[in-house]
Amino acid sequence: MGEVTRLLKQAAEGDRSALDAVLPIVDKELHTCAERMMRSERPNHTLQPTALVNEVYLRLVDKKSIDYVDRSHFLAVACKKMRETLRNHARDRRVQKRGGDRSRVPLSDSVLVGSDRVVDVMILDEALTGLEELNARWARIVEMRLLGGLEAREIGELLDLSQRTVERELEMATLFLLRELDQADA
Amino acid sequence: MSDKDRQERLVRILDGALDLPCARRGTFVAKACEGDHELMVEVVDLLFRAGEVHEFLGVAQEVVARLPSTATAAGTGSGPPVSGDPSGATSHAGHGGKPALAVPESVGPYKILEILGEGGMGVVCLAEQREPVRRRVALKLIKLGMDTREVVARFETERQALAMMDHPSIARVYDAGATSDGRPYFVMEHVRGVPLDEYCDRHRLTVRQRLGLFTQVCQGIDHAHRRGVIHRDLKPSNVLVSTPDQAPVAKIIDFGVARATNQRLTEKTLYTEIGRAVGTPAYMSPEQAEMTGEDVDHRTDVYSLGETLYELLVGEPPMDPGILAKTAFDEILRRIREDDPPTPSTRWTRMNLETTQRLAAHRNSSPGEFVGILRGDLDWITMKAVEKERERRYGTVAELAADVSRHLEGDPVEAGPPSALYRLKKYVSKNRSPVVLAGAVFMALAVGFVVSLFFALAARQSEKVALRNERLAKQRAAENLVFADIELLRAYDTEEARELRPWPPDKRPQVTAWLEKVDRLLGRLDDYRVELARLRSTAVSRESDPGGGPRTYHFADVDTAQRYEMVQMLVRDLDALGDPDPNRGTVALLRRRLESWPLKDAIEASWKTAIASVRNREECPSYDGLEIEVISDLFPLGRDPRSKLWEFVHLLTGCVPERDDSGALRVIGDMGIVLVLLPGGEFDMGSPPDEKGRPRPGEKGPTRTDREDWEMLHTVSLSSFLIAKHEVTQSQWKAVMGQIPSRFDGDTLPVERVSWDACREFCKKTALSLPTEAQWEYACRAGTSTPFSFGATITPEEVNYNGTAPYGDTPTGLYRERTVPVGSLPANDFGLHEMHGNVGEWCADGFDPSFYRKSRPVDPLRTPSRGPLRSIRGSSWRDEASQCRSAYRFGRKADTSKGVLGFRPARSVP
Repeated sequence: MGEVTRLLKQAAEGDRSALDAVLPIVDKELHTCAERMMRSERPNHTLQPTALVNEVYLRLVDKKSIDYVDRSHFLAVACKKMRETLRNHARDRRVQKRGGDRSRVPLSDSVLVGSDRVVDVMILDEALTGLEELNARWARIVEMRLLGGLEAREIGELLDLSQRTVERELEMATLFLLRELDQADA
Repeated sequence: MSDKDRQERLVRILDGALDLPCARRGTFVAKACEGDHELMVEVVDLLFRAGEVHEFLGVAQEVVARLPSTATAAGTGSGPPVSGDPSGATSHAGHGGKPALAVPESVGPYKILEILGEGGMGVVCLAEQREPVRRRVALKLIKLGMDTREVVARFETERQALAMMDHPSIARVYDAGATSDGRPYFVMEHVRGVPLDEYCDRHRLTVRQRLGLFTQVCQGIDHAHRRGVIHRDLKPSNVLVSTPDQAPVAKIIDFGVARATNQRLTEKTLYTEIGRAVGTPAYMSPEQAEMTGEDVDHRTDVYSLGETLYELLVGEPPMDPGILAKTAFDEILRRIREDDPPTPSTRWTRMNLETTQRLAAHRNSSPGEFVGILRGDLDWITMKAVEKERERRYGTVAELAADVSRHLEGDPVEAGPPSALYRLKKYVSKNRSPVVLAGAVFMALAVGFVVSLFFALAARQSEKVALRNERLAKQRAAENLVFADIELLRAYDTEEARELRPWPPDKRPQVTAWLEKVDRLLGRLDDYRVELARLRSTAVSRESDPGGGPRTYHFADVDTAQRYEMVQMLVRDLDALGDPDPNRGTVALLRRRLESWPLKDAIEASWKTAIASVRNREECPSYDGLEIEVISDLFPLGRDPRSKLWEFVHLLTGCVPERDDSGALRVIGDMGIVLVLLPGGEFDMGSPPDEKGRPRPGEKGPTRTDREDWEMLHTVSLSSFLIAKHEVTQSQWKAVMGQIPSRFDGDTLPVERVSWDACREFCKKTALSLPTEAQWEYACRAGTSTPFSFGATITPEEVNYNGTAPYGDTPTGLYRERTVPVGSLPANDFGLHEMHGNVGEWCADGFDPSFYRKSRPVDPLRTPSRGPLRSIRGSSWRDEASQCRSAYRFGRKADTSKGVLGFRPARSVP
């Protein structure tokens, strides 16, 4: 049984610290995966957060010995990390624009979210931050869906909400997010 | 109010609005915002995106769904494998590239000359055959991994049939065999050509030209089917177009290959060579996707032809290869089996503006015009060919080809919009699985549909369409507002309006319901106007059309531009539908119909009066005590002040006309056909031998018919009958038949360019008939025995004829060179207008110059079944005065339609 699988099982049995121990591993793997993805693709290839997060999951977790609740726990953690990765990346770009440190090479200029929608990393981060200010839970739900690919049912179980509530909040949150993205596009 | 309060309020309203169907959201939001305009604008701005939400979130799930199965295939961790060229490269036309396969110098008796291309199955080479004939052939070398003996054996079973195929659209298949290292190969005619889709785009072929090539392909496939050969792997890249002498010729390649290699899609082939796998999934028929084995028949080719047609029209096959390439194997198969593709026109409207502009340019058209070309026939033909259940497809390729040529000829096609019942059945059967039903939401949905199904089973045809559209109305909640409204508009404006046409009075409840629905749609028009203005304000530049056309707006991004185009189209079409002028807007027209339709009591009372009046010898001496019965679709209009004859309006064809102060009928655009009740009687049919302009026996030529006396004077007795006061107008024709075929344009102009067959069709739909020649002449003469009902001659003031060819000594006069509105020239003594001239009028009889010699003296009719000609009376705006005589007669073939031929219907009296 792999390290992460074991930690996840511990977390499922109530050991909170186990989940914290997963974080750095996820973080590292995310970076490695993302960088490899970018290297093997043409320049300016669009990064697909959902694919990335799920690939990390497949790499780290032995899916035969884990049930889907653990999977959603993992994905929730991973997409939080994904968001951080995106945010760092957005920050790096800003620094670069002001003529700062050029040693950190940005992963990608844009990411693919939702259905075939290509969004500038910075714009997506700003839109999500804006959404966070409006309603932190909504932002979390959208993150889990857009970056982690979690379904409403899974999100509901993680946040202890009914599926119906998640669906509705996801719908409303997406309306706001789309508006933010549209405004940024304009 | 604090920002936080405001935000909470906004969310509450948004939440409430999302609970409602789209149609009711506007009202709800307006109420809930209580005049806070800013808040309202914000809510509406957010709600406008409601349709995008599911689409936006939808695919995210697919990405996850496919990951576990693709991660292994994508060993480098670079995400899912995406095929660069999903169309494959199985054609002869070289796609270049270095072949992965080693190609020997010669294969059997064939010497390899060069490599033409490489596909998923192997390599295609140009080869030279020495024995028994010297010729160049295309040789397809299959890669290792197949059981060669079996491949060759399967080919042998079909060899006989393949050899028998001889058609210009089929590349001949010569031979199959095995190389020394055991790889199977196929030998076929070498075609120098370009794949069908590529050829069409490269030469910017119009839809008509594309359909022409497509028909060639159909003919080839039909030829093969008649010899028991099924292609099984049809796709645009398996059809090569060459231009041996100017005209393009389509040739189907790879016949027999699919069958022999028993190609079956497996997960392995899909993921190692997606898009290039044999049996490209985008073109696979649902029964092939069943993967259960051999149950594939010729209809699988019908399906693939449908997909090919789809791609020729909109540039992509119905199953988007881009999406398929990103989808898990089982999911692909499920999609092929179950997912209904959008109609070509819907697919078109969902593409972004850049794509549609590019595609339209390749089709020598514009995006807006092109969607109009797709809608209707082409949508239906394509969808019928790609039906999931093969029983519902065209039974044979020949039928598909026939429908395509019907479309090209402008005839009605056999395919039509799918019925609601079928869709419901399908939906219910699809969702019967317990897994899906477990969710309460789905449960409610399914129960709703079962109820609908129950209802639909009892419903009549016209209600089925309404039911489906009702469902569409519900779907608005989940779909983009504008898209759904465009669809709804199309559904209401064309499909449902057509079902209701010709809007008979007994459909009053349906018409009322239709008006209510359309009103709801029109209620959103203002919202769209607001959005249109908002979009225009975001334009980066605008251009005025010097010709006075609408302004063109340019936008910073494609999405806004596309949205603008859609909203603009919707506003324009809604405006047209709601046009307050009844001659232009259907809503105003139907509203006027509703108002003009007399109520049941009024109809009964009028009929009582009419029956009594006709029977009364003192009041109506001409009818001589005639007893008539109620004819349900006619409404009595009283008597004409001059002729004193009773007139009736035919409610199915239009409104009830009014009489002016003198009592004369006022002709309006949307007037129902007015029928005049003529008393029965005896009259002399034909003309006296000395009448000017009359053809004399033997005068015309040597044949037997020429020696006949066409206008032999003889006495005929007729029963009372009804005949139209005017020639059938264009608006009346449109109300019944939908389309106006005429050369001249005007609501009250007589309809022309209608064949005898079409007129019969019109009469069948309206429970009317064409008059017999005798009835026509009796009506025209109105008691006179002179050459014309106006006396010894006519002038252009009385009759619309060719004034440069007047009658007898009458001076030449005005030649209008066109039709005039009905009722604009003086009536005869029966109150009938334009019997002479304007348009020639079809009669019920078959045309027979010698008929007068042998006709029976009472109510004569020459049965039209024998001989191709039908009688025409009255002549037209283009004819000489002598040809407009009461007795003048001639004949034309029943399918003739000319700008000089119209009709006026009649009806017998019960």
